[in-house]
Amino acid sequence: MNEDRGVPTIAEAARQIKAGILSPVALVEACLARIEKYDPTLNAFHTVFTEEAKLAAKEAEKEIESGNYRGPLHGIPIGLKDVFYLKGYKTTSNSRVMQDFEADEDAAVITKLRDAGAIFMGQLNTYEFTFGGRPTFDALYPPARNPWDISRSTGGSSSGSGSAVAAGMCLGALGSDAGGSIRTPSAFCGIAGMKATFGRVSAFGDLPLSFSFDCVGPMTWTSEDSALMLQILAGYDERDPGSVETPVPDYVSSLNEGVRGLKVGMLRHFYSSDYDAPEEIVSAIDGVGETLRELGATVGEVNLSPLIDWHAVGRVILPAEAYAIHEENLQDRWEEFGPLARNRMMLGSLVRAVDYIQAQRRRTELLAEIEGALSEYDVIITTAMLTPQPPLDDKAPFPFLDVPMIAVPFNLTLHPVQTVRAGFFEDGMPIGAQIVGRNWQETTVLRVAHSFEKQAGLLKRFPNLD
Amino acid sequence: MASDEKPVADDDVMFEGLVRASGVPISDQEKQDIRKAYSSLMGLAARTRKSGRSWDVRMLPVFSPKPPRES
Repeated sequence: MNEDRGVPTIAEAARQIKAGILSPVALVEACLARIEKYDPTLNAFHTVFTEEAKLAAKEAEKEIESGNYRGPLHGIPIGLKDVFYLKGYKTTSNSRVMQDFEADEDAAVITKLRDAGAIFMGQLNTYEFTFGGRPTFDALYPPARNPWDISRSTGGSSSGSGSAVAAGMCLGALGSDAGGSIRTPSAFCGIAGMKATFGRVSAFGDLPLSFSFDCVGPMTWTSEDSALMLQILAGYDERDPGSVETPVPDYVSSLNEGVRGLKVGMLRHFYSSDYDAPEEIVSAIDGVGETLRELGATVGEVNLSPLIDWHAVGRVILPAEAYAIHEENLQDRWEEFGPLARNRMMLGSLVRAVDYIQAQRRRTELLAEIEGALSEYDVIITTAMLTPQPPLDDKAPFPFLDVPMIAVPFNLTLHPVQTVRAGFFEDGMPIGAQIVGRNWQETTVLRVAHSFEKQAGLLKRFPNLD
Repeated sequence: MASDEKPVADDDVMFEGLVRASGVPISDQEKQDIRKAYSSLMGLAARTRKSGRSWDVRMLPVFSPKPPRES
């Protein structure tokens, strides 16, 4: 096990950059050196912006030295999942269908990061069109590998983002999440990731998978870093019909307020009886509740409809919306899709309008259940994974029909969720938990996540890359 | 003349029709795989239905116009 990650966290780097102790140029050089050394094995990036990043770092350094420090992301190396419009570059979503697509403007989150002075390190791998729970081997680019064990899956679809952050090739990354695509790779790669309340972060310029689920968010080593990134990413955008005009609170200043007095609901039956998760997962997630209790929270247990009901709703809605988005290309350019992604999307053509509407009505009922639980509890804790990281070369065409989707319940209900590292399997692979909060209460979610991470001390273990 | 027998939804007929109607060409092997997945999917779709569900349970998302901006 490595003794450090090779790069600082965003929070550490920002403090040092602001104080003039750390040069953005040196930081970018350090990340580029790690990319050069490790990415040929990890495949996290498909395009590295070597020269552009060096130039941007020099400009950031000059600007900071002249007294124009923009804030905590100024000079920070960030990776971009290849689903976001990026002017001057292709946006492919890892599909041959999109290999010549170049947007003429930036995605909303790209503009925000650019304005904050972040340094773009390159475009990160994803599953083709961000669909499905396992890597697509037949897409435009090969799948990313998990830095903790390169024979195991990173989870997806923000696979390159998870891999790159875990390996310290960038300090943070953008992800997108329609059914766990931020949270699963965060859990599998042992990092933190935030799916904020639906409508909190603009999805303008994010190649869509599901109109009613798609969220954009940060993936970072710590929840403190997620807060720093979310602070920049959040905010209303009239170009995104799902964006909501509501004030963005200060996510960072309350991080150290602790959890004393908060009520925490453990959603145990999802992983202990609805699905028979391995004992190591059960023990790690239960341990999150124990730690929060030690810190002064009141911990109880939440009972909702069985996980399969939530899975069923997600499983009907997601492919139907994905198929609707990609129908024309599936019909006219079907041979350009990798068969894995194409056939996963084909399922959507088999969902009738009545199936879709009944699923949306069930969604209404399930949403009421969560709202009821969250009127009693400030946050709900459950697992972010039901199984260990599967082998990378598992090419099951429809894996999501075998194992219920543990992340999708909170896409259905739109609530904010932070993934945190909750423990380890005996073989050293990380285990992740989800912390779910009330709508628009990312501040509370991040406060709980940060308190847990500090107390548990689990982030002091790093993948062995050599 | 209509038969007295109550018609029953036929998943095989539905599957064949929907695949054909999609206009997406797929191989025989892919069709077999998708047929299996379709059975699982329809099982899940059945779970979303509830006998006697109130009409008041509407679908999500419900689209409404945004409130007027204050002048």
